[in-house]
Amino acid sequence: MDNSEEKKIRLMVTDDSKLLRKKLREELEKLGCEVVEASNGKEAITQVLEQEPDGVFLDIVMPVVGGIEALQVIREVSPNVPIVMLSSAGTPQKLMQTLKMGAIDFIQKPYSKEQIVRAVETIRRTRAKNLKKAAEQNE
Amino acid sequence: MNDAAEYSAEILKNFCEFLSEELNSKIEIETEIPRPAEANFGASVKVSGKIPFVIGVLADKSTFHRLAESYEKIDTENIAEDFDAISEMVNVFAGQLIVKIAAKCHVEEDLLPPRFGKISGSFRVKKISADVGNLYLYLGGAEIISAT
Repeated sequence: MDNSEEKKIRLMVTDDSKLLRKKLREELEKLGCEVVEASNGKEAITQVLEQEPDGVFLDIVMPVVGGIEALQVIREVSPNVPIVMLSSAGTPQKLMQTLKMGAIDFIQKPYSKEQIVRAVETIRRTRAKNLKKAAEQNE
Repeated sequence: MNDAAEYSAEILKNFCEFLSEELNSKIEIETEIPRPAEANFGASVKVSGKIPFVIGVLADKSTFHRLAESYEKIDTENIAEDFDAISEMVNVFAGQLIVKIAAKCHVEEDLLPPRFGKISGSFRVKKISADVGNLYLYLGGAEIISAT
């Protein structure tokens, strides 16, 4: 395991439900992650720029700015940050749309602990791959 | 599905199955009645698209609180947490519903953010009995809660 994988990763949880953010925070902290929170897409975009999280959990149905719009903007401002959609609105079209837009996974609510564990593993792997690629390009 | 009213029995059945599983409770559908005055706490989600409709769950304050705790499996600390929990519950149910609609009718529906709050309007609801108490399901075209 290299240093990039050993680092405690910082994940952002974006959901308009405070209770969901609290529950997911507890689960992610148990997995050794640092957690920052956003309550809508607009806050998520700001937090990505300010906090530079290593991965993002993003709900779709949110007030102010929804998850699809936020995904599009985050992809522009931070092209490599792994994004996992976590939403109740998991229709096949939404799934395809968000994966095409660059999300790495889509979890349909209600989520299970196992799905979160797998998503964190995927974020870690994606992040490590991106760091390796960036290091190779700098050589 | 062409019209939500046409499929209200199916939506009601789906909702009762969802509640039974999430609350681990026996659920019984009773009857359609005018909204009782005491059922004045609620949360709703609007499904928008080709088949627009609003799903709302209502109860009296103490039942609403027990429902929130039973769904989230935590002790909620205040009414704001109760609203948060039931909004999420309705949102998750509506999400499952639009996935079923997409599979069955090849129609893509969207969800609008949940609304929650105290309710005062007159409309008809389906009475449902659960271990937490009497709940009331609203299914119709008009919003029942002001934007939150």
